[in-house]
Amino acid sequence: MNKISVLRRYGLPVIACGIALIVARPLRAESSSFVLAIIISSLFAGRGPGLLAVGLSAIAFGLSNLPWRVSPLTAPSSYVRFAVFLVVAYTASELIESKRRSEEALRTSQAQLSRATRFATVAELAASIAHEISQPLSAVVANGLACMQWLSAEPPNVTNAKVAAERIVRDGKDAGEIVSRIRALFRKTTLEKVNLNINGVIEEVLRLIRKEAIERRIAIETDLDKRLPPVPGDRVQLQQVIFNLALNGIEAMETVTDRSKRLLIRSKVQNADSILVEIRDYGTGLADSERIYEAFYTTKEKGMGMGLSICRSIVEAHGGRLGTAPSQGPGTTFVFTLPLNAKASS
Amino acid sequence: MKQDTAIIYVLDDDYRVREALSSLFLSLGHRVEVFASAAEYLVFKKPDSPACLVLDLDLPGMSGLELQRAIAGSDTPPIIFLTGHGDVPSSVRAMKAGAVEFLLKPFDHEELLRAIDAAIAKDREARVKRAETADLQRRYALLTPREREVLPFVVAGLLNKQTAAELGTSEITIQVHRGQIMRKMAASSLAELVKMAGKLGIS
Repeated sequence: MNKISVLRRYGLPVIACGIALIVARPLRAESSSFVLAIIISSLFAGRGPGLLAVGLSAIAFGLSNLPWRVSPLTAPSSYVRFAVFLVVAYTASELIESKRRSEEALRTSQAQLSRATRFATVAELAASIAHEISQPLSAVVANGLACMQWLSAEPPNVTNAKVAAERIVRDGKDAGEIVSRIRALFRKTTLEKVNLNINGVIEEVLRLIRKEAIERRIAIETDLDKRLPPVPGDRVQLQQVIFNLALNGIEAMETVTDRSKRLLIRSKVQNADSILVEIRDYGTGLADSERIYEAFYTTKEKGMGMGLSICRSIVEAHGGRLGTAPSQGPGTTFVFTLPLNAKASS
Repeated sequence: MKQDTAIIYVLDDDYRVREALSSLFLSLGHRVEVFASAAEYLVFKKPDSPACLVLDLDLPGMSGLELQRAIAGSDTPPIIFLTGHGDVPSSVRAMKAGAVEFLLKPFDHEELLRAIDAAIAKDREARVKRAETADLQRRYALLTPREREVLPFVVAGLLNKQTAAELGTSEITIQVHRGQIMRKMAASSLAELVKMAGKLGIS
């Protein structure tokens, strides 16, 4: 949270109470005006500013209503009014806050759910693509064989061969349509860029993978630069990139037994125009550091070979670069950069 | 078409695969019956000829593995699994339950054709064995209760005299029973009768 937004949040109750003070006197409706100011502050700025508004209103209300110059005992009704006002003001602020909090919780859990499903879909999507295409391809091969068989029969059965050939054309077109559907699917995902604090994104991902890491006895270390400027980016997509790289690192250390398993995530300012995120594992390392970005190339037994190629296309869509960096000692270091200037990306 | 033409049952929920496989198997001179679901396959009255079943794993309703389990034990044709979603656990389960082959789509056609031939050969063999056993059982059913009592002693190699003593009757009677057994079972020698008894599970 930066200073400007804090100032803006706490400025709101001050302004609201100021306006309430001005309009309350001539209207002779002090309590309603102040409660309104408290409600507005709590609603738009949250608990802290709401309570500030309660305090400010109490002072203003007290100043205008309590008979300071006379003995308190002569006007007890003023004090009762003040007490009632305080209770109402505080209750209003608390009620709004609790409603806000339950809404917030709902939103967060929904956001997490949609994120989790999107993570799952990368692998599932690839598997279902493979299945979708293998159906018509199987049919094409079988029809091709049947066609040859009908033609080489004695006498050749041209009618059946023709039917088989027609089916080859039809199923081939089917497979082609599936491919173009997939293309369209990838094209449609446009970036929703907002100004992002990449450290926040990293921490969100860490929350998701922490359990996995603990189960596999992997220590996650972070070295996040606190002075990192915000970068324009799509939160969910960059989460996917970091999630994928971190998970790859964890999986690469699966078989490691002779050294401690550590996953190191670092963020820093690269230069005036870009920031850099580094994800380093102490795993088995890479045999071929270029082919890994090819679609369907995989070194994992159950992998589909889509992860890194998707990561790279996401980073490049942000105008950045994804690659490996030489690491000292065993393991692999993945590095990606993100430009600070939104114009650098297309 | 001659009586012994093999039938290939194709069970796949994708009509393209059904059409293609049926055309391919027809072109190779087999008979083909296609089904889109396990239920269709189960209600089909299967003719009496050698066969094999090309089965998809993912099916609407009853899955391929469930169908395999459901028809196991009965005189079911050998099964070749052909699937787009093959994972290790299901392939292991399928093979353990007696599948001939587990192939992934897109399949290698030579592998498929080899598997088909192997499956049909296996079924032919099983059918011959089944027919033999059925024939034996039919002949065994002709024996009288007393003859069935005598049979184990005969095949155990006991002399007529010994058998007579065991069963408390005369040697002549046993001799008559023995002649009847050999005739009814159509055994030309004692050795053959012993073999038959072995197949029937009598010792």
